[in-house]
Order: sequence, then C-alpha cells, then structure tokens
Amino acid sequence: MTRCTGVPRRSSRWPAALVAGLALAGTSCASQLGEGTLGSARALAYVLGVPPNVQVLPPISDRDGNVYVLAGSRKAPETFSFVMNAGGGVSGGCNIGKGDRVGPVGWVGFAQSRAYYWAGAALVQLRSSGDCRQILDRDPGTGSALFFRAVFPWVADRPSRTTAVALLQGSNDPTPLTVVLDLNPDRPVATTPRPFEPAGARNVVVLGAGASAALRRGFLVVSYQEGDATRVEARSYDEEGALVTRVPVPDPGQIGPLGFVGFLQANDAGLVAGLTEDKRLLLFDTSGARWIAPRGLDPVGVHHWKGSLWLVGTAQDQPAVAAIADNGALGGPIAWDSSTRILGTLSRPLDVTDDRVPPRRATRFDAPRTPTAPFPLVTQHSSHPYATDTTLTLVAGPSTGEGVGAFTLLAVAPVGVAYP
Amino acid sequence: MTRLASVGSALLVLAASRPLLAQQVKPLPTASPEAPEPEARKPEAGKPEAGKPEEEAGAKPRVSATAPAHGVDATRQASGEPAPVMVELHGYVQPAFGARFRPQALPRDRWEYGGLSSRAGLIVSGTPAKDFGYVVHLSLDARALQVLTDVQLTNLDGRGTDLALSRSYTPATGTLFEEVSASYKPLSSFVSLRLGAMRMPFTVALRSANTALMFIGRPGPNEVFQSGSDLGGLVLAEPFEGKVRASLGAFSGVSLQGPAQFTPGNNVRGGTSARGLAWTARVDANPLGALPQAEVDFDHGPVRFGLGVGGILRNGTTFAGNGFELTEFRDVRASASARFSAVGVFLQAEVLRRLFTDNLSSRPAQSSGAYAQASYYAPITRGVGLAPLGRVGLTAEAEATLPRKTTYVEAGLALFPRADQPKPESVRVLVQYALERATTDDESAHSVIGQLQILF
Repeated sequence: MTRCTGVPRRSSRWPAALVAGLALAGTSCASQLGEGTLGSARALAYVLGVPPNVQVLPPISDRDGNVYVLAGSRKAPETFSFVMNAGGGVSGGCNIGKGDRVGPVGWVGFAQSRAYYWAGAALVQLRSSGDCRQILDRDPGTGSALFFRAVFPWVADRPSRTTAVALLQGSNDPTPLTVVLDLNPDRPVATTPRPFEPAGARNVVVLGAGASAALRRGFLVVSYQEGDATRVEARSYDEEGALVTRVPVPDPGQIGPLGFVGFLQANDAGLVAGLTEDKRLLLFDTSGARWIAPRGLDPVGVHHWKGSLWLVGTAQDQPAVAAIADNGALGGPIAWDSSTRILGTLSRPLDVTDDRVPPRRATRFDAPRTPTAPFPLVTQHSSHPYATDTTLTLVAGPSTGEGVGAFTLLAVAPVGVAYP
Repeated sequence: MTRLASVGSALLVLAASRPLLAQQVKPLPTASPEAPEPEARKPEAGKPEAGKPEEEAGAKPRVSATAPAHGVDATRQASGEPAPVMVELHGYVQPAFGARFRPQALPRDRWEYGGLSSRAGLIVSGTPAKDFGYVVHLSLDARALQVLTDVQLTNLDGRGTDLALSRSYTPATGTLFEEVSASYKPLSSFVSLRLGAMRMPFTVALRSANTALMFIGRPGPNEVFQSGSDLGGLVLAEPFEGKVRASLGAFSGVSLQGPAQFTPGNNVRGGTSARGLAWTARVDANPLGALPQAEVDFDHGPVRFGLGVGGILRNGTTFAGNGFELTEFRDVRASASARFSAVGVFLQAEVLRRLFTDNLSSRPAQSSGAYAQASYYAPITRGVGLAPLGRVGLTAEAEATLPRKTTYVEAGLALFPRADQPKPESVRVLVQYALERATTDDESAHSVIGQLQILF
C-alpha cells in the first residue's frame, strides 16, 4: 500500500502537522495500489457455496465509495445483495428478484450513494443505508405487472437527474417498450416509451445487453420473429432510448435467453464484444457483426478497462488476457500478472478487518481462497473501476456447513490492477 | 431556530439600549476612504481593536457606545490609551433577485427565480476592557442551515422484516453565527488571540468579509473546498507593520465537509460522527502595503501585491451510532493565493487542493481547484463609480476515483452610487451573470442576479 492510502498516523504533533500541511501544498499524490496488491480486506458476510463455486458477482462501488456485492447466479432465481459502507459497517441480506428462473444478471450502475442491479425481470435500487426496493414493479397507472426484459448497464448520474434506459414490458404488451428511467430514489418513473422496432415483431428475446458510458450508448443482441422469419440483430440505442443502429448477426446458432455471459462491452472506438456461453466471441459495430473463435485461450468473459477491450480467461492453466483491437483483431494470450500476484498473496494468511458490527476487530483468514473459479479477477463480468488502477476483488475465508447448505465467509478488498 | 432568534433579538435589544450602556455616542464618520490595511492597523489611525472582526478591520461603526470618561478611564485617556467601547453596531443588507436556468434538469427544476442569494448581517463588537474584545456577527443567509426534512423507514431486506431509519437533510434559510468570538490583543504586541466561532483563515476568499466580496458570493471553487464558520481558536501575528499576516489555529472541524460518508449523520445506518481537531495555518505577505479590502481598487492606488499560503490538517476518527470507532482519516487541504492592485485594477487568483484518505477504503478523495478574478474601478463622477467584474474558475473533484470537473464563468457590473462616502461599497448595485458547467456530465446552469448592498 502506498503512503497515501495508508493508515493515518495519529501521533502527529502540531509543528509536524503544520509542516506537513504546507508541504502538501505542492504535492500531487496520485496514490494507488500496486498491481496485484490488496488493500484493506473487510469481512462482508457468509454467502451460500464453497470455493471455487461460490455464486457471487464482482463488487461495484458508488460515488461515495460504498461497496455493493451481489450473490447468486443467472441460472437460479435467488439473489442476495450486501452493502459495505465506505465509512464502516455492512448492511445486507436483501433478496429482491422477479420471476422463477433467472437470478442476478448483473450490476446496472450506480449513483452518488446507491447502486442498481438487474435480477430476473426486476430492476432493484440498493441504497448505501441498506434499503432495497424494486423499481416499477407495477405500472403506477394501471397496476399491471411490469417486467424488465433488459436494462442497459449504464446509469447516467448527473447533477440534475439520474437516468437509465431499459426494455420494459407490461403483462399485456406483446413486445417490450424502450423507456428512459428517471431514477429518482423515491419516485422512479419511466418516460418517453418507444415501441419495439419493427412494428410487427413477435417473441422478442434478449440474448445479451451492454452499454458504454463513454459513448453514451446501450447495446443489445436480440432475437425476434417477423412473419415466419427469426431474426437476430445487434443494436445500439442512445441515452434517450432511440434505436440508433441495427445490424444482422450472421449464423447466430443456438443462443438462449441471456446467452451472452456478463454484459456486452464496448471500447471507445465503438466496437462491441460479447462472449456466448458456448465461448464464441461476437464483435459488432455500426458496419456489421462477425464471430471470432478465440485461439490459445479458454475465455471466461469480456472486460472493458480504460477504453479498451480484453478477452480474459486461462491459458496453460494460468490467468491470461487477450487484447481486442479497435479493428476487431484478437491478440494472443498474455499472462495476467494482476491475477497471478493476487494468487500469491492468497497463498498466505490474510489479515481482515471485521467491522460488520462495530466495534471493528481484526481477524485473519488462515487459508484465503478465490471464491469463484478459475482465478482472481478472471470473471464473466468486467472489473469495476474503484479508484485509479484499482478494482475490487472477493476473498473467501472459512466455510461452515456441508453440501448444498455450506456457507463461506467472504471479504472484499481493493486491489491494484493492470491489463497488460 | 427559536433559540437563535431569541439570542439575536436579545442582542438587538442590547444594542438598542444605548442609554443604559453609555453616555456618549460617536458621530458618524465623514472622513476620506479608509486607509490601507497597515495604516488601519495602527491604533492611532483607527486601528480595529481586539474585538473587531478581522474582515471588518477598518470599518467604522455607525453606532457605538463607549464607557464614560471619568475615574480610571479618565486617567487612561489622559495617558493616551483608547477608551473602552462597550458596543459597536454595524451590519449589512444584501437583498437580491434573480433567475437560474438549468436546461437539462427536470421540468420542475429548470427555472428557479426569486430572492436568490439574499443575505443580511448584524455585527456587534466592542472592547469593553483593555486588550479584550468581542465580536458577534449574525447572518441571515438563504443557505445557512441544514435541516432534517425527511425521515423514512428503510427496508433492509426487501421484505419489510428488517427496518431502520434513514434521514434526509436540506439547506434552509436561517440565522447563523458567522462569528462569535472573544479576543485578546495587547496594545504593544503584534500578536493576538481569538477564541470562538469564526471562519478558518484557510483561503484569501474566506478572509474577505461578506460585504467586501467582488461578486455576490465567494468563488465557486472556494466553496467546494471550505465554507462556513467553525469553532476554535487562532493566534494571529502581524509583524512588519502588518505587511506580514500569519495565523495558527485549532478548530473542531465541523465545517470541513468530507466525502459524504464521513459527514456526520449523513444517512449511514444509525448515524455517524467525526472527531478530530483541524489545525490551520495561513501566511500572507503584502510587501508594498495592504491591498484594498473590498476587492475593488477605489483609490486607483499604487502598485501593491500579496502572496499567501494556507493549509488545514485534520486527523480524525469516525464513530458509529453505537459509539465505537469506524475509521481513522486524514484530511489535508492547501491553498496558495496571489493578489495585485494598481490604478483601479484588482486581481486575485488562488489554487486549492485537497486529499482525504482513511485506513479502510484505499480510495483517496483528491480534488483540485483554481480561480482568478479581476475588477476595474472607473469613476464616472465624483460620487458615482462603475466596476466591471470577471471571474473564471474550475474544480476537479474525485480525481482518483470518478473525476468530475466543473467550470465557472462569472461576469458582472457593479455600480457605486455613493462612491464619495468613506466606504464606497456602502451602497452597491451589482448585476452578475454566472455559468456553472459540469463538463464531465455535460450539464450547465445559468443565472442572472441583481443585488443591492447597503452597509450600516
């Protein structure tokens, strides 16, 4: 840990304090954790599962630095969310979802002191206080049930308002509408509904969703029936929910609902990438879509980091990444030092701060592990930018119980990260 | 609120009860514009006594009540010592009217108009005993208080079986103690002590009085880094005939807003509190003499310039609602300023920086800011003057996490219809345009405000 992020020394005396204060007048301290270096690990909660099969998504944080963790799997409807306050303390145990088949799809985004996740057909707001509530569970006018078919994972958090774009379908609607969600924390509302295009479409199925804050675009891979034909398209939408581009996806094969792992990711040049469950890589932009078969890398997910795209996975049983160039060319696999170094750290006992309920106390994970396979940071979801060159990772501690009823204590730690 | 209003009323009554306190009333001053700062600090040149507010130094009270000159006091006066002043009363009224437009906001919030930025203040000061003084400065400001406006049951598990309270705070109009302080200043010393509630002398903008500001408010970047009064004490030194001005202080730090989660009582379950002394230091050097206090060079005086640096260091601890420690933090803020005035031109620029770290998050809160402002005083007639004003500024907040940049552009025109008065800014009509643009979020706010300032 660098000196800037370290524990403040409490023994400062007045003259030293004055000198330090004045000395810092010209200091530009871009403090950050070294690559693969863990910051203070904090105990979170016991979560169902045993490493390496704990079902949990990578954490995210809001503007205030509160950390949010989502436990569950897309393939099971159970969803549990937790909040780790930046100022200390943990709230959690919220389990809002919707539907009986799909669990947490992923984090949609965050605002000043709250985060949003998409689970099943629900969009859920989670406040730093621990308050959780479903957004637009029912149509406020008619009372009929509403279902989120897709939520673009980008919350535009501006000084005047907070918005997101989603595909929302009422229980009586044949196709979903594209809506802008005004995410007022107390009175969320859907505005500017736009019908699904083309007008005669039926059986709309969302295969994958994504978004880019830099481009202010949402992306969708969607299948629908038009007449007797089944079409699969890659689409982009603007922040007002207007359809901007749609290109056909050639030879889509068999892709189930939400058959793209994690979210679709886009680089700053406008290239969008998505990995299917059967490990095919789809690339598309405004000119068209094409498939790529990764070579030399067993892919796990597509990550976006600092405006670039990376395919992450394993190569020769080691964590590896492959760069996706702006023109869609896939680079060769490169060993991922960030992940390897975390593994090295986890080979030793890990000091953990347990402040779930004050007073805080120090504890230790004697045999820390990676909760999810295969390696640290090698996940279906992209790494969340927590601070400069820093993301968040989960560490598994002791487990209790046996079989399907086993639980594992998880901790969250900031970690320095670099994509080679 | 009620208590504050009562105290304010009591002070008003106290001030108005002149016959009980004094038998002598000073005539209203009709002298030429006040002397530059070093001159003003000499007792024989109307130097502010120990109790006079720092930013009001040189201001002449409109009403004062001094103790009778007989007995010991007569002896004191005979020996050249100033007579005690029990009560001096002055103040200001700054009504304003304007409109603010935010094109990207919700329809309800796009237009805002009315008495924006209206403010009034009442200053009571005195030196009731040799070397000892006091100041009570009450201000009524549209953004003075944070009031609890909403308390909600928080659903912690989504099922309604685990509930807690969450609170919301909103700025509201109210009475605020801008300064309530007592001071000790030996007559022969250039060092003085001051205790009470006051603004930390962190930036040069914070040192300026509400009535001496070039625009209606202080620079936007300054408000991002520090605003409001705090509780503590200061040691002030003004050696070299006041050409150097240094202060060291210790404050409770209640005015230092940190990241939201470290702001006491801010929506963390059960509420939090932060403890830790804030140490402050500031040094200003004006080698050619003090600059105009009103940020306008009414006198078209000689070349003068000033340089200054300031800093705040606060090591503290946050506590949970149950009283146990949550985190330890360090909050460091630094500023550097430069000022210049000559032949009617007044320039002021300042850079600010802040770094907030704690032992838990590995997520430093790092911000930078800067601004520059200028005015030019153009006398129209002997008693009327105009001053075009301009200011630009920028802030970059959360630089190490989620950078958010804001730029500020302000332009204005100030009319001084009583420029021949001892304090030309006693009556001022100001019209200003302000643009605040959140460049990261592509949003902007425009405002046009007119303000009348009357000092009394």
